[in-house]
Amino acid sequence: MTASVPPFSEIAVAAKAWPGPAWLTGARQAALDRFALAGLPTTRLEAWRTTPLPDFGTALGPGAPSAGGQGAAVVAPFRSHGAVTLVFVDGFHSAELSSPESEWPKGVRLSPLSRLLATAPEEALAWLTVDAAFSGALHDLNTAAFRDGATIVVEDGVQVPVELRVILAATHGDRPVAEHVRHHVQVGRGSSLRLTVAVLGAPDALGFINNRTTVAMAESSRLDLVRVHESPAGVPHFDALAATLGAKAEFTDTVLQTGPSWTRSEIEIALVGERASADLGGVFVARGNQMSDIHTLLSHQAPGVISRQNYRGLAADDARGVFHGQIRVEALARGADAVQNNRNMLLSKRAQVHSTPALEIQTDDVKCKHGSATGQIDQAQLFYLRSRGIDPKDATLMLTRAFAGEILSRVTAAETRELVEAQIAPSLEALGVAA
Amino acid sequence: MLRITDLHAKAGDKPILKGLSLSVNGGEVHAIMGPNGSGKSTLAHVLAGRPGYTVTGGEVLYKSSPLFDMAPEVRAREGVFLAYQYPVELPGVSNLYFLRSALNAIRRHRGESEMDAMDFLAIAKEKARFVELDETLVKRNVNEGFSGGEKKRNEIFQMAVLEPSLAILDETDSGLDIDALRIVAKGVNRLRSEDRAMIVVTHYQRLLEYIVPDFVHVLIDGKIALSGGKDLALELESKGYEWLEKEPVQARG
Ligand SMILES: Nc1ncnc2c1ncn2[C@@H]1O[C@H](COP(=O)(O)OP(=O)(O)OP(=O)(O)O)[C@@H](O)[C@H]1O
Ligand SMILES: [Mg+2]
Repeated sequence: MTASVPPFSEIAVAAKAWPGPAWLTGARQAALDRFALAGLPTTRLEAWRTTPLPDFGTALGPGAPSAGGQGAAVVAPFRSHGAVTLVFVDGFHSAELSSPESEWPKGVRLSPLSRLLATAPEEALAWLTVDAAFSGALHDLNTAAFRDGATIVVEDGVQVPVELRVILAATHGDRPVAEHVRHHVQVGRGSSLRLTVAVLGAPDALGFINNRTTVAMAESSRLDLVRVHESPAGVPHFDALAATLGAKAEFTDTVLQTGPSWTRSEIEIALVGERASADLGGVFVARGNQMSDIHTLLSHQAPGVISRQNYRGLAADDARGVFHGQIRVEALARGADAVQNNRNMLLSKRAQVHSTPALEIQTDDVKCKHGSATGQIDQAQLFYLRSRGIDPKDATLMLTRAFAGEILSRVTAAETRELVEAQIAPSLEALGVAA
Repeated sequence: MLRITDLHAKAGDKPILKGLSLSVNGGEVHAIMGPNGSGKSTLAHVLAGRPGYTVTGGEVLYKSSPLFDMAPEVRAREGVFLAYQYPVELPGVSNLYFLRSALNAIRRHRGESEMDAMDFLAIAKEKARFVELDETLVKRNVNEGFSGGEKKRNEIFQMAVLEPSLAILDETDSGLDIDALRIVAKGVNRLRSEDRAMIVVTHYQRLLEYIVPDFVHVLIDGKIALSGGKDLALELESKGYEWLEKEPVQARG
């Protein structure tokens, strides 16, 4: 049965031999069976209508922990500032590249998932087996095949003073490997945390990254999440984030999806506690033949919850972008307030962006606004710059940078901002050249 | 500096300039007046090279070279500057970064070394003080959320920094209060020199009390209908344009 999805069959076989508690082995097998039955998603599925999968090649290996290699160079910029880092190279925790345990902040239980499963697997039971509303073959594949990830548990009443960084580095250049990574973040009552997650890689790396993060926020907690999606061209990246927000929890997420690979992000936020709020934003940058996709689902399930979405996309050359933003307001969510805004800029005649809002509203007592606009670079602005002597190429770059910059400016911590700005600058520059 | 001969141009599909001729020498200030829609901004835009206009006839020589052979950015680097009637907002683009890029593009063109952020900041501050532009505006995004008058003042600030050879001011005085008008005039007068020329488009004689022009031209229906000295502006102020629209008048002055 498991041999039916060719690029992943080797992983399916290997998975049977992986150690773990019985419940996990069972969950993996069930997920694998679902995956084999469904097969990889095709454009016949509504959720994948405008997002064809990349070519995974004939076979993706399961990978293995590796020491040294290019990992150190890939993650270097993200280690150089005063933050606590957890590094994963080709899907496996690298103690060598991560911050030493002596630097870990108090009141936070940090652990690579591989270690947690070996020492206290019952702690992972609840969140590893729960199903989110976004589901499908790639989610099942993650459950079947993940090996490692970051687990971060902030105890009640802790304001974590340092930023945490979770960094994934794809480095396999010789043979393509699939890395399935699973993170869990829990923020205790009244606690706060700043977290940056970066998906990076060596330029010549090959494979696939399937990265899944679950977030559970207790009452009155706060999480500021920044995510950088810059996997290299040969490493398509599927990313899923599922967060559950308790009463008065405040969640912000900014995703900078600027890398050159096929990338799809699914972002699913459940506002389950009264007056919880989610402020989401992101930008994708797509060029060449690239496909970049952001899917959001904001599920309003309690009175007085608030959501804000501000997503932008830049597409050049033959690239294709997708923004699909779903707002669901349940009958219980009286007084919910949801705003969604999507703006896209096309930098060539062939580039395309599909932008679709989807609203499902079960109560009248709701404020809901959404807007979407897709257009070319503003000619009056471009000319204004040229008429001051600036080269059209530089002028285009300046305007696209400004367009993306409004999302970047959501990252308010100066150090983080500088770091991610430097990381995505070459991607934006490449866009300017291509245009 | 600038020699326009029998210029014909269309805005979109509509013929606007219909045989306009004008010569501007170094050191001169020329005022252009004329009724709404007569083609003043069209002339300014055609000289700057704005897309959307088609030159259908005539010739323009700038510093003895055909102007229309140069791309807009090359014209700017060669010293052509247009202060817009309606300056564009550039959200997310900082004024300082924008202006330094512009200045460095011009400097590179001249074979000069680029200016770093620190040196540039010093110059920008000095020029801002000169045109009495608030320093916070200098650091904000280009024209984003600026008032009408602030946008105009920002144009003059840019002119002061870039020090063009040929400045075309398209109704820079419209929407300015008296103080701002005086400041704009100060900026312009300071730049006046033997190797610079200015074309000042205005509806109001008042500006010309501060920026005393060498010549005043009346643009009507795409042509210069009348040229004169600075007193012509006063005459126009009292008589309007109607008498010029009805009968062709010989150039005077
Ligand atoms: N793209 C266009 N297509 C068609 N007509 C245009 C276009 N642009 C400008 N026009 C027209 O050309 C004419 C001249 O416009 P222009 O802006 O040059 O006038 P102006 O002399 O500057 O007027 P004002 O004093 O009001 O600023 C106007 O009738 C205007 O509506
Ligand atoms: Mg005009």
